[in-house]
Amino acid sequence: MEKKTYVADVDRGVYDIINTEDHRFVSDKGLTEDIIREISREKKEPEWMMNFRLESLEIYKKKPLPTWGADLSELDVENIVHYVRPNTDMQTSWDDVPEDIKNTFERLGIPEAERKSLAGVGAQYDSEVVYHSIRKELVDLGVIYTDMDTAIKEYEHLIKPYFMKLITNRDHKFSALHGAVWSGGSFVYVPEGVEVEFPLQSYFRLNAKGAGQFEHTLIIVEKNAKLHFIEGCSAPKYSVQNLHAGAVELFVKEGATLRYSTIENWSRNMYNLNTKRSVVEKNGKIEWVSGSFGSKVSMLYPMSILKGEGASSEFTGITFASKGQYLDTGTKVVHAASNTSSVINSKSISKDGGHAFYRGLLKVAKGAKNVKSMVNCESLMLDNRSKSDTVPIIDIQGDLVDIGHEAKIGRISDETIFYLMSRGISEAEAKAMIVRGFVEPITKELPLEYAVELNQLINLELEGTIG
Amino acid sequence: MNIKEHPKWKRITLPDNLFPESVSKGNIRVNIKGEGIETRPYSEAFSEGIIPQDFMLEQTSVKDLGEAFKGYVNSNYNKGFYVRSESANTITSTVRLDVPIQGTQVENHILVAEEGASLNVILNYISESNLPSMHYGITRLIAKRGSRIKLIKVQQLKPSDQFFDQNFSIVEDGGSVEVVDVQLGSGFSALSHDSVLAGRNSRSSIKSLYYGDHGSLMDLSYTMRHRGAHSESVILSKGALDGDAKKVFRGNLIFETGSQKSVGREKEVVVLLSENVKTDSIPALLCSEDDVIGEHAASIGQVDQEKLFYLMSRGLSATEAKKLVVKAAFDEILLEIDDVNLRTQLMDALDGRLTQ
Repeated sequence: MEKKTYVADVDRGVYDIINTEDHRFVSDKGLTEDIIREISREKKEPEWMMNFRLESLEIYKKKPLPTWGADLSELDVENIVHYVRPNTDMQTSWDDVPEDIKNTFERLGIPEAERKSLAGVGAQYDSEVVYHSIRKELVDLGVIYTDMDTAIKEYEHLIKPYFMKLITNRDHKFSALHGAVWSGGSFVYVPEGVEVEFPLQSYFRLNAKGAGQFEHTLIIVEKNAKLHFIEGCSAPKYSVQNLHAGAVELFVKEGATLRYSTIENWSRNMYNLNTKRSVVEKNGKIEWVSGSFGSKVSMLYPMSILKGEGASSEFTGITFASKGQYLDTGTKVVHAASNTSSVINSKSISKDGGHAFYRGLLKVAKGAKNVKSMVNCESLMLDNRSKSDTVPIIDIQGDLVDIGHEAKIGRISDETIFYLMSRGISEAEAKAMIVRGFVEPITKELPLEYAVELNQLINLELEGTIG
Repeated sequence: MNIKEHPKWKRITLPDNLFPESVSKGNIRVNIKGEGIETRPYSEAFSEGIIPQDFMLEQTSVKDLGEAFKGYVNSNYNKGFYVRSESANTITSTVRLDVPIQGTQVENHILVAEEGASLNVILNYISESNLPSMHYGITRLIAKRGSRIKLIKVQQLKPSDQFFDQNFSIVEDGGSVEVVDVQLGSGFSALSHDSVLAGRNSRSSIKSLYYGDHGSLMDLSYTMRHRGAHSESVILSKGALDGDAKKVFRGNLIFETGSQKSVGREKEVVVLLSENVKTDSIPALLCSEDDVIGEHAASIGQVDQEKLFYLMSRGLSATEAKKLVVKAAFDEILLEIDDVNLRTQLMDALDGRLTQ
């Protein structure tokens, strides 16, 4: 019997520490018009927003569950608490944040990262943002980075033309749900020509048991501006279901560049049904870096709409599915204009009964000329209890295109290990090198502290053959 | 019966009057070479019970063209053969079936290669009438231990015809099935090839060539299911689209648990010759076994500009150069056809189509 390398589960240590629940306001379980009105009242929102929420609720009730992808039959939305306000207002200094909440973010390393390498930080705890700050020099340049609730009130003229216009409440059941109960999230506005040198980071932590998190992130990067935005997510494990149905809307204007990095490490009782979309104008660029490690079920397909001539997108993603996880991830790219290009690099690892599913769409609209795209999917399976599927759909109208696609599934081959060993490298080190090499295209795209975290997450105990 | 219920059909609009009630008299010209080959009408073989029941059961799990399609063919077929080979001679054991399509033709075929035997079958579909005609057919292949079946299917119907074709094969230990699928005609084609690599060391390949022009619609589905260990499969598809042609390609590589050390490779090349074409590709790799190699690759675009430039620098016109490059790509598939007459005829036909 061949010995198989044991690849340890993602070490969840600090993520699983549960705080005592201390809330200022908790909505009732389930979804009714009264609950929606109460959430809106509690948030002191303008009337148009409350009407939008009520409209979304109606759509939500009518829309069916998706008939493809993950099995959502066990998801009981009626038993989820949709709004939990922590017992604090939003603070701009960590000292003012209640001790237990502050400690949670300390353990996750957020304030430390802020001091060292970030230009601004937002921290959401359950349904509301508890901390937001941005460096003064960026404020002076006109950069806005604040929580969505503040933004709705203070920058209504900026928000209203964009809010839920890219992801509408009619897109699917969970975008409708999001429209009805959304809360928290970040708003970023980068004015024309401003390059934000250091990344901004928002961290979403869901502590309440059986609750949902529905944060809304809206980013507008104006002409020739530049931004790197990092999103982190985690929650401690409970025996009941939690639901995450956030929405991320990204507007990349002419000549602008936006990099959007996510490390998602939800607990294994989480349904992660998130929607992310970006629209890119002439010569603009969107770069997605996406790491999916946690959750029980994920359905996540960040979408890039290349609307302006010369727009481009890059997607780099890794998915690690372990015991009890079904991670259905991928990306969608729509080439709606000429001279647009896209690159997709996706990797997945499945082990211990985990199921990793890559689902992608590459679409070239009629009339888009000189379109280039390269899609690359690689999957590594570490045992035969696990599953790994790849379905990249390519949908093209027109002839002036150049599309290349490659996908591979398999395990680490004995030949490769043998080759490295013939060069004097020990067996264990050879295997470690191959696994590191497999995830390397992703780790090199991450900010340093995240790359370190990712390497810790994939904690290899090398013994016997991998596979 | 409503075939539209099947989700796989959502990408192409189906023609009206999908399952006509009146079925024409079929007429198939049979040409057998070599010893050890038995042929008889499918209906006869079916009523005598010599078609293995477990195989029929296995086939019910294949749903490519939908239950309605299968039901229609099984209750309305007017032609079809049971072909069985005991011959080990790989060259002479050949059955060529020329199928002229007139009106609505519905066929059921079953091809069986006994242990260690070899069987070559050519099914050549041609139009026999000027009226719009249709073909509905199911072909089943059983390759027993160590046997080999090579099936060449050629479809050269006229643009007003429709072609619906389902193929299913099961490959036992050490057996091999090779399918060459050439789609040059008809205004609407929907077809599927589904192969189960059931045995250890079984092999299966599908090499497909298609050419679509004017408003032709094609839905091509190729599936390899690796069940046995050390099995090997290849899906290779090469096609060119011109005019307003629309094509959907579905290539599925499935590795079931227990198919360790198997290798499956899939490659699709599409050459686009007009700005009005539409091409969808859905290559799927579904894997429940870790110790396998599964790969797919697709390349979609115009004729390589560098190749064109090179040929034009040698004095060829742009059209001639394009034609040459497309033909060269198709040769890889056409050379699989051992019947020289048929191969030459196809090459000429392609030549004529490309000139237009």
